[in-house]
Formats: sequence, structure tokens, C-alpha cells
Amino acid sequence: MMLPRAFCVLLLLVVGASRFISADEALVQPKQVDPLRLVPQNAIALFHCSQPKLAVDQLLGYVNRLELTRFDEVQELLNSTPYQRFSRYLQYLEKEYDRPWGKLLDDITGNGLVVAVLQPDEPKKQPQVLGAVEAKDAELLHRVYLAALEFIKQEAESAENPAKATTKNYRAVSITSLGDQFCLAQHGSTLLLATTARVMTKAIDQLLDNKADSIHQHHRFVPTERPRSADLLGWGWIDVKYLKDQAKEDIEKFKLPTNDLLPHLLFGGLLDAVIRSDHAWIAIRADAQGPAIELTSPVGRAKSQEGARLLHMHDPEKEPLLPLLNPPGTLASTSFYWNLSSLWQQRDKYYKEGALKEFDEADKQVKPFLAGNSLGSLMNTLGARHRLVIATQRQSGYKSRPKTAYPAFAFVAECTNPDQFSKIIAVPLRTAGFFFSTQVNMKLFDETYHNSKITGYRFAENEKNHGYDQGSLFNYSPSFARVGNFFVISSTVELCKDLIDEIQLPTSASSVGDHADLRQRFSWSALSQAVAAERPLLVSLLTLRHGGAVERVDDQINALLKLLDRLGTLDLTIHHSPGFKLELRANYR
Amino acid sequence: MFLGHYLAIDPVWAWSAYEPDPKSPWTIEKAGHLYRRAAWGANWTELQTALKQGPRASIDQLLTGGTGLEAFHQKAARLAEPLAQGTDDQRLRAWWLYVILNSPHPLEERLTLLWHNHFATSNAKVQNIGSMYRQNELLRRHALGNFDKLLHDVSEDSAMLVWLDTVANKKGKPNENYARELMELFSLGVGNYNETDIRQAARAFTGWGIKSDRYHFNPDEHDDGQKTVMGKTSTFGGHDIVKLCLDHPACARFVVRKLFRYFISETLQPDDALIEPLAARFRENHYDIKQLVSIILRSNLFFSPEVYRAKVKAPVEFAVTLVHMLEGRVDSIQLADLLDPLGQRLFAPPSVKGWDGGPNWLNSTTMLLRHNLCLALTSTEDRRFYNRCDPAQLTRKHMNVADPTLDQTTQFLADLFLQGDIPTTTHSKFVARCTQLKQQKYAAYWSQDFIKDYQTRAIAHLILTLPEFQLA
Repeated sequence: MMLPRAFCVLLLLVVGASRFISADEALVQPKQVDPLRLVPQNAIALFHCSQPKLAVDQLLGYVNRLELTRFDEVQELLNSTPYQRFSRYLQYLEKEYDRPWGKLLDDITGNGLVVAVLQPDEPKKQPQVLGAVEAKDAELLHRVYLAALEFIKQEAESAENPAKATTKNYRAVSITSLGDQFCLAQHGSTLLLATTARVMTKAIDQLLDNKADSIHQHHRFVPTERPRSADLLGWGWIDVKYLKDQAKEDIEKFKLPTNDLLPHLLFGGLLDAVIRSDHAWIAIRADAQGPAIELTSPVGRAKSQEGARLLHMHDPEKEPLLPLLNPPGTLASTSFYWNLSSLWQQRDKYYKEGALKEFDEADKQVKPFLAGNSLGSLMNTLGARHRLVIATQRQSGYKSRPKTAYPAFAFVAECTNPDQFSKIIAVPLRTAGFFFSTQVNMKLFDETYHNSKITGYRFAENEKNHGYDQGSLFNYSPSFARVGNFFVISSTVELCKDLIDEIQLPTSASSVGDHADLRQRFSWSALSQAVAAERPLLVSLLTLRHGGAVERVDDQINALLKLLDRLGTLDLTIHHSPGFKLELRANYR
Repeated sequence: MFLGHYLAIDPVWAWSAYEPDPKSPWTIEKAGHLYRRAAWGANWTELQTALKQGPRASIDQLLTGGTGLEAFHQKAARLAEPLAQGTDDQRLRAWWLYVILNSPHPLEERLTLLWHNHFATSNAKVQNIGSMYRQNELLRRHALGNFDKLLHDVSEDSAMLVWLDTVANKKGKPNENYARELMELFSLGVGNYNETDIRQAARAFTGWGIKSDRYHFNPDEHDDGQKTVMGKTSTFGGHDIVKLCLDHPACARFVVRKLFRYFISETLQPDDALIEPLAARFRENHYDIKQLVSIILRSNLFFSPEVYRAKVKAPVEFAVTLVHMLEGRVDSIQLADLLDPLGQRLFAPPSVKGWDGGPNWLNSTTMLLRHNLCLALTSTEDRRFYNRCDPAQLTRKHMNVADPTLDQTTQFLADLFLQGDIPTTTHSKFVARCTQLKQQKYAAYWSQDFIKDYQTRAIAHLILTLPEFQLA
């Protein structure tokens, strides 16, 4: 955490006053070079930004677009002494170097910057960090670097515990160290920052000699795989193999077959990608819709562990993922591939021998709860494509309001044999309902809605139920229904009905035409509705935070609701084919 | 006027109203003293106004509070409603700090805090934010009202019913907790009752319980037999016992001593001769708290040198005074957290006796934490507060000097925070710090305004960490 902050501060400081600098100092001529060449082979991870100015512009663009300055918290930050000092510093630089800060930033960093985390010198020690910045204007960099050193000394004077600055030369390059955890040096168009003198001297060797100790010689760093696109703000690389080697025992636990299947049941596809990846790439993009982060690895579905592939990875030759469900007030919606019948049919690929016996034993024990059917027969009636939905409760079937309102949620399972599935699953669902009714007062009901039969429970609105966890029971009316080839299990009958309406639409069951293995969407707009429902609490909390007038807080809440609405959605997509790709994308309105 | 050690004082002089005269004029020091004891310190405007209007009008104003009190109470209640339904006591603590910081009636809040310490009830046992909130409202409602009514209402308060186990007090199985504390800590003090009185009184409170978070009397669990308490026999109920306590001559003396300790001195021990005239008037006025406070605040004793800066500020008092004098606003959730390690967690006094207070508030750790709080508030670099309490903005607002020197700024801040009470031994500290700040080399891009603001904040921090500022 220390380095990025120090890095940013020094990057800005380095763009310092030049009046202390004599203009006739010898300078190395600038040339178009990538700072990546200075990252040594023992890098564990690196982040590269070819045009920092562009990235800053994009970031500021989002700040403007989302109107973040309307918030008092942001205004307070902008009016704060640290920011005012920073702002003053920028003004000073603009004046001293006679160019706007954007141009200044571009001249100092315009040929790119890289930050790399390096393997520690000794096992179990902290990793080291190296930063390198390539300037477009070497002369400017040289002047501001020396001025920055002067500023650092001046700033240190007013600090509570100033770190001592010491300077020494290495191969005629002056290295300045601040305490024992940070040093910096400049040569020609290059600015170097490092956590230790050793890392710094190696980087200077590389800079001066351009020897073969560069990340380019690393066999897992494959430049052809590197993310590229017009909207790329920066990219990163991670040596996954190195990290896995540090946690070998933990990684072994996640290989199939296993005794602990739960992580695989939930995150098997992701675990498989990690287990098989040697390296991964990160891309940060920004386009008109909003920013996106992408994590990729060349490992694809083809060589995956068979268990993981059968359970989590969609077969491109079969039907693609189902579209996301979007009933009114949807907060989050997921569509995913989860082939539980494969778990049953090929369980020896998942379970080690001991666990396999336990699994079979458990299967026998659950038979009475499944009307004599095995767990396998239940799984065999299930399809492989399922969906989950969380939605705000627009309306409630209860007159009573719980003190804390929770959103409704539902699981929509695809069935290969819906008749059989409905028949089997109804038994445990009704049994659970019966058992629960011995604890609280509830009533079973059957209702036909748009040709689908809903079976559900409603809690009695009596004093006993009101006293149960501050009336939280009135958040629920557990229901289930079969709708064509789908089976809906919902926390409320209202959501169940909304889903019946949506599933019956022809578009709901048709494919979206892509080959994603998981799609997830989080809606900020729906969150805004949920937040609005809790407005009194929000007013109280924000007033306490603000410390001032309630009326001001009211305005801020309105601005917050608008912001949430403007944030649109956040989409997560996972592909396992042809390679692994996880993308998180914001879709601003 | 002080006839001996430990306050063998002439009561007539002591409780007579202070009138400024050439020997004892109305000064900024006295105005500051009044606001430190009866409010949360005085900001610059309040100091100047008090100085101008004199003690009588200033005390009148403190006793009645500012305009918009009713509207503020309604607003505070609306803010509390959703918080009281939750389970997070941090939010309720923050709410009260917000009310303390923003109420137009600071004396009312001071008294509410006093009664919170008198009827010390902790949510650690009550475990019900709603009940704790309602008790706080009750204490505020009667803060400057009638002690008779306050004692009756506290006895029925749901938080108190849980805190002192009245809910477990059943016919045939009396629980003596409430009866004991009612006599010992709430109304009479040790020596004015005996163990039999407690046992008999406990029977009178049987059947007192809670239903739907409110007081509920269950006649089936009440012992309606004859009880003999403090020499009187009847089929007493709980309120009869409260009345017996209020009718006892020790009650008024007990409450007056409590207020003496709160407003005048925690260390001086007043004898009965000094207390009795006040107690008599308290009885005559039917336990009217406001009238009692009025006499105390207007008295010669209150403005005498012996009680000047003779109290240690409690953590809440220290922090709120700091913010108020800086004319700032703070995140009271953050402030509530910061007060915990200073030793005062609202709604969680350490025992039924409340906080010990006085010098116990201070030790090497809490002093360091007080210094850190001052730094966090005044440096403007702490991201929890940033520029919300900026001394530099304050000096710009109130100093009528175009380009003040550091010495002028220092004088202004010393007048504001300490009303000039800087001992000569401390004065050298100022000189050294000012010299250091003047000689310090600042970054080249810092403007003169930046440098001045930095120096102002540094001086403000120095003053606020002086021992004198820890005293009320």
C-alpha cells in the first residue's frame, strides 16, 4: 500500500520547480523507448500504462459525467488542505514550466509508465517494487527531478517524522533514498522508483547496459497475448505459476477428485482456470459506456479438468446460456451453466473414494425425503442452465411491514424432465414447510396464476410472528411453481408471479447467441429504489455524518439516488472458451 | 469570603447573586467560565455578546435556550426514530452527540448528560436501543423541569426497569436492586434509610414490568400487603415509595450536592450549612430544577476565583467544546468512536454509580488521545474531518485585521480558547513555537496564505493541548 501512494506523490513532486536547476547540465537525448524493458525477469506482476495522460483524462471524464462534485463529501475533499496544496502545486508547475498540467503530465510520462512487483530477495520476505516512467521531454524531466528533491526536503521539514534523504552515486547515476524503504533516480528520459537500493541498482544496470534481464525474456510473458485495443487504458500481467508455487498445498486441495466439493460446486470453473493457468493478463478499458476490467488466460475449456468442464463449462455445440431474467426491481440477476446431472452420473470424477462412499450413503438417507427417489434421479431431471434473481419488493402480500426489509430472491432451474422434477421436489419443499409451521404460524396455499400452479406459504400476521426477529418473517412468502420446462423457487409469491410472466415470454427461453458460461448483472438503478425505500434511515445516518442541516442531507440523498440511477448496471461475464476470460463492465447511463 | 479550608463559606454571601463591581468586574474570563460550566464553551460571538450584555442577561439566555428549540426537538426525534429501531448503539451515541452539538439549548443538554450520569443506565445490560433512546428523551424532557416528576418517570422507564432488575421483582420473590439504588444513588444517599426500608420498598415495586417495550403493571405479580418504610406503614405501591423518598428532608440536600459537584466543584466538600439554604429553596420550589440551577449560576460562589478552572472537562465536554469553539461541524459517528478510548461511552456508563469523573478522566494515555483528537480536528489534514473545524477559517472570520501577524493570531486564539489564561511558564512555549514557525522553511510552491494558515493551525493545536484547556 505504501508504494502506490508514494509513487503518485513523487510522480507529482517530480514535476517540480526548475528554478534551482542549471540549464547547461549534460543530458541524455530522449528516445522512444518502452519502460517495460526495465522490468526484470523476476517480476511477479506488472502494470503498464502507455499514456497516463489519457488515463487521467478518462478518469476525470467519468467524474464529470457522474457529476460527483455535487456531493458534499467530494466538495470537502476538493476544499481540503491536502487537495488545495496539491492544486496549488499544479498551478505552480504550470507557471514554472509555462504549460498546462495536462501537457506537463504528458511531457513527463508520455512514453509510458510501468509498476512491477518483484520476487523478494529471500523467501518469506516482502516482495519488492520497481516503478519506471519514460518522459517525452528528457530535459524537462531532469530539471523537475532535481527540483523535486529540493521539495521533498522542504516538505519533510514540516512533517511530523521526516524521513532522512541520502544520496549516493551508482555508475554515475545519483540515487536518492528516503528512509530505508524508498529510493529514486533519474537518467536521461527515465525516472526510476524502487523500494530498495538493490532493485534500483539492477534497474540502472538494465537501463545503461540493456542486457538480457528483462521481462521480455521471461518465457511466460508472451507479448502476442498482451491485451490490445483502441480503448485500452492500461494492462497488467501476473505470473500465476509463481504465486501457485508459493501456495502449492492449498492449490492441491482444489484439484479434482477431492473430498471437499463445495468450492467446486460454487466456483469450479474459476478454480479450474487458476489451477491450470501459468500466467494471466489484465486489461483496463474505457469506452463510451464506461470502464471495464478484463482478466484473461490462454487456458480454455479444451484442457480443463473433466469434472469442472462437465459441471461448469458450457458446451459450445449445445444450446447457449439462457438470457438474464429481469423482473421489475431486479437488483441482481445471474444466468449460469451448472450441470448437476453430470455430478451424479460421473461422480467418480469429482469425489475421492472415501467421499464417494459417503455421497452414496447420503443418497440412500435422503430417499425418504424424496418420496423414495434418489438424489440422482432428482439431478437427472435437471437441466444445465439455471438462473438466480434478487429483486426489490415492490409490493407485499402482507399488511404488516418488517422493521428491516430484505429483497426477494428466486432460483429458476431448467429441467429436462419437468414433470418428474416437480413431483420429486414438491415432497421436500412441503416437508420443510410443515416442519417450519411447527415453529411459526403459517398457512399453505395453492394458486393458479397464468396457467401455472403456485404452491406457497404465508405467515399469519399475529403477535407471535410480529415478535419473531422484529417481524422479519413478513419479508417472505416462500413459493414454488413449474413454468414449462422451468421450476421456480422464490422467497415471495409476488416475485414468483413476476417470474412466471417473464418466463412465459418467448424471448426468455431463447438463447442470447453467445458462448458465455456465466452472466451476472447488478443494477444500480434498482439499488436506488431500494435505497429510496430506506430514506428515513439514510437521512439520519447522513445527517450524523454531515454534522449539519437535515435539509442539506435531503439534497444529497436526491443526488445520490440520481447517481445510482446514472451508474446503470455492472455486468460480469465469464467465458471458458476459447480461453478463459472474466470481464467486469460498467454501463453508465 | 472563604472562612476556612474545604468550604466553610458564608452561605448568605455564597448564594447571593453576583453583581459586577470594580473589585470583581464582569470580564471575558468570567463570561468564558459561565459558558464552560453552563454550555459547551463559548465561541467568539457568544463571548463578545456575553461580555456586552453582562451576567444577568447571559444567564437568562442560557436558562431559556435559543430560538427554535421546539422545532429542533422535533427534528432530533425524526432523526432518532429509524436509529432507535436498530440494534447499533454507536448510531444512538452519534445521534446524541449531534443533538448536543446542534441544540439551541446547550444547558438542557448539559443537564441531560448530568441526569444520564445520575440515573446511570447502560445499554450493555438493557440491550434495547429504543428503550435507551426513550430514557434519553425522558431525561431531556425533565432536564430543567421538576425532579419529583423526573424521579417518578425514571422509575417507570423501561430501560431502568431492565437495568435495575425491576422486571424480575415478583410477589414473593422481591428483587431489591431498584429500591436500593432509588434511596442510595437517586434520592437520599447512604445514612438516610436502613436495610429494612429497602426490603420493604422492594415489595412495593413488584409487578412492575414491560409489555411492548413500555412500562406495564401486572397486578397478579404485585405484593399488595402492608409495608413499613421509613417509619410509615401502608399498602404502598412503587410510586408511594418514590413519594416517601421525595418527602424525606435528605432528598433535596442530596440533589443540591449533586448539582454543586456538577456546576461548582468536584473537589471542594460543602458542609450542610452551605447546602441547606439551597435545599430549602429547592423544596419550597417543589423541586424545580431550573430555579435551583438559576440560583447556582448567578451566585457569588459560582464566579469566585476558587472554583475558576477547577474542574476537569469530561471527554464529551472536551470534544464538544472543541468543536463548538472552532465553529465547526463533525461526523458525530466518528466522534462517538473517538470518545470511547477517552473513557466516556454514552449510554454505557461503567456502573450504576456512573462515571467517577474529575481527575480520573486524565492519565498519560487519555492525555495523548486528547492531543490526537485536537490534531485530527485542527490540522485539516485528517480525512475524517478535513477542514470542517479549521482554525484558519475561524481567524479569517473573526479577526478584524487585514493581514494579521502570527503574534496577533496567537493572541486572538489565546483569547478565544483560554480567555487569556496563559500562565507565564507556558508563555515561553508560545514564543518558542512561534519562532520555530517563523523560521521554518516552507515548500517553494506554498503561498503566503498557505503558510499563514499552517501556522494558525499549529498555534491552535498548541493552545488546545495546554493543561488549561483541559479544565472547565
